[in-house]
Amino acid sequence: MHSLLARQVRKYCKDGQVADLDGFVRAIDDAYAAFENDRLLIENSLEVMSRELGRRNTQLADQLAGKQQIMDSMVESHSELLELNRQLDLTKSQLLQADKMASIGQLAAGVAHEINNPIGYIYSNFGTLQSYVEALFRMLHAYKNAEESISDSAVAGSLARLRRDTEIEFLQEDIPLLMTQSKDGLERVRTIVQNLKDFSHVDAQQTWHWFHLHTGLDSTLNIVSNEIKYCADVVREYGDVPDIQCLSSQINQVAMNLIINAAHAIGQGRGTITIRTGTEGERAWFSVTDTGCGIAKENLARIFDPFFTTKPVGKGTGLGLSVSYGIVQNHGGAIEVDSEVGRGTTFRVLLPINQEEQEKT
Amino acid sequence: MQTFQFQAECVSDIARLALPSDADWLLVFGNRRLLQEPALFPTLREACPQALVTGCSTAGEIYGTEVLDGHLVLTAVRFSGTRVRMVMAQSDSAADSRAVGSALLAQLHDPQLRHVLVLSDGIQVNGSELVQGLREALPRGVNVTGGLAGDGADFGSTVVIANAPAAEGVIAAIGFYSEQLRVGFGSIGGWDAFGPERVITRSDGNVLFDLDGESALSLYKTYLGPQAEKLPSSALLFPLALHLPGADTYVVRTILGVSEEEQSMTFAGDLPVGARVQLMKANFNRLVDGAIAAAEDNLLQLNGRAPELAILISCIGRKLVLQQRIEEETEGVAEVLGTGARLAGFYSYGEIAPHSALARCELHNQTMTVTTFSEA
Repeated sequence: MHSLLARQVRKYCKDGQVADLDGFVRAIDDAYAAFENDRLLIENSLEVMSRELGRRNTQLADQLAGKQQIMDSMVESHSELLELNRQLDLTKSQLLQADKMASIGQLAAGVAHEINNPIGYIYSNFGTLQSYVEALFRMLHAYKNAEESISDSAVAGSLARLRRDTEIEFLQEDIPLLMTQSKDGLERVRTIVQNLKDFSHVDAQQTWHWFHLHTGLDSTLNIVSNEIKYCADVVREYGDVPDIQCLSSQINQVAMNLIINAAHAIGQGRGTITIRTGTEGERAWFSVTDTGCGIAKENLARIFDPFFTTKPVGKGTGLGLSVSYGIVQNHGGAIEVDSEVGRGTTFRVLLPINQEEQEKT
Repeated sequence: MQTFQFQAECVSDIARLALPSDADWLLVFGNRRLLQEPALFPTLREACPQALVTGCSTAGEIYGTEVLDGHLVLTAVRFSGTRVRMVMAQSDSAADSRAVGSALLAQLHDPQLRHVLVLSDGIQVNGSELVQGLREALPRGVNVTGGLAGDGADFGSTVVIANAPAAEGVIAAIGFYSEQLRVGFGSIGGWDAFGPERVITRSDGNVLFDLDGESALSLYKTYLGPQAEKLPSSALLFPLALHLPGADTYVVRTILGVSEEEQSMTFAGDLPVGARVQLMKANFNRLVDGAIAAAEDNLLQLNGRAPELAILISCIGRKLVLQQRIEEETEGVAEVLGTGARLAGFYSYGEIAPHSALARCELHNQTMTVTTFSEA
């Protein structure tokens, strides 16, 4: 028997008989009604709660999606920050290098200017000196022919002795030779000074100007010739290239970095550095190919990173290629690299011919 | 300690009862209208001239294991070595409940004070504020239990007898002074929280307006379905579990009234903004088990002494759920406490007791609170 029914029986029945039938029935009826109410209440609560929980579940899912969105944008911001940081590093090193190069350029330009003037008048005087010496030789020759006509034997003997002692014949042969060699030397100094001026381009304004790649490559090769002449032969395979609009001193800097890297890649043995030029659509290009050690695959992705170098301590700063990359980027150009370990490397620099056209695109 | 217990259906019946004239304490629990009859107090005073007469209106009277409605239950106590002293206060507004509680308790201080029993108006007094005040002035080693008077399921007005005719807004505090008296107490609910947790977004003291930005009254009506017609008493089916910030456990808050005009609900204790609440529902077996567990807690504190008097203050919400089976909880308590214990008490609008012997006292709702006394 249900404990409630037992309770009701105890309350309303005595000696096996119902003592209060009305009360007994009312109690049982109340119990039924109460159970029915409880059931309805529970059913209703369950329904309301399910609805509420369902709504909250949707809210939670929305919140979660919102949070995920925030997370995604945070991850994106984080990678943007990383990229920005990388660019900052790059710019910093470029500024550092640019500052260094500007100092070197100014120094070179200063030295070139100081040497240029004395070399100018030495060169000019040298031409005059040469004609004077020729005139003196003609005069000496006339004096020598006139010696036989001297009647005083003492005077004639003294002159002949003097001529023998001073080795006039030898001087006549050697002086023109010395003059020619000296002139050659002067010519070389003049060329170096001009190359230094061309390279530094300090005299040129730092705005876009028209420039011929071959001029830049030649002067760069002359400047670094000391660095490469003992390890590599230089082959120039120049194509037909128009003048390009650029910041020439920076392009020279790129060429120098690539040529010096090529020389370093060749190392101990003797190799070849080939400089090529050409055009491709609206762009001109030059390439530097060496027959050196090549770049390992795992390093290829990092060669343009600032301070990345495989050169021995003291030989490379790890800035050359990153600075070059930055310069080419600023020009709206590109650097391509093709390398095979043990065979060599080619760096190709593509530059827009016309900066205004480039900006339009 | 000797106890005597009687029930009466009207005041005129009292004269026929064999109330001991030398009783020290007379406890009166009953229907509000009976308590307010002018003849009641003089009749009681005449029957027990020396006794301290205290009591309150109820939502059900406990007479042994029986639960009565609309009766008077009189319990007379003759102590062998315990002195009882009562102080009372008239609370004019719910706002000063805390100060009143603190001041009342301070008046009872004495080295021999063992325990304090508080019977308070159940409508005009802010229960949780009152308990805070009581707690502030409580001496070390003394605890307080008690309850808020009831008014059936009407929530109209409640009265307290404080050695004077029953009156509204009264708070009575009875101090028990003794070397030998042992007191036990326990308070357990047995309700289960269910459904989503909600945050109180608008309230004012014990008046609740919004949960999660939506009307709390509408929420109750949705859950109650057809039983919403029986508000406010039907809201007792869904008390609130209140998680106060920083507290490990929750307290149960039950409803005292609703205002359709303000769309608000008044509870038996504060509901601070920002606290989390969850609806609760009765679990039939756990309600009865809770009452039994509260009685078991008492025995542990009595240290093997047999309880002689047990004052049971149980919430009206339990009566509403258990209905005809309400006596299962009083029978459960009686079984634990043994035949030597006289059971008296009432169904209340709020219970005052600590969670355990070591905890501080709190205002509870929906619990069975048992306080036991033993002089033996």
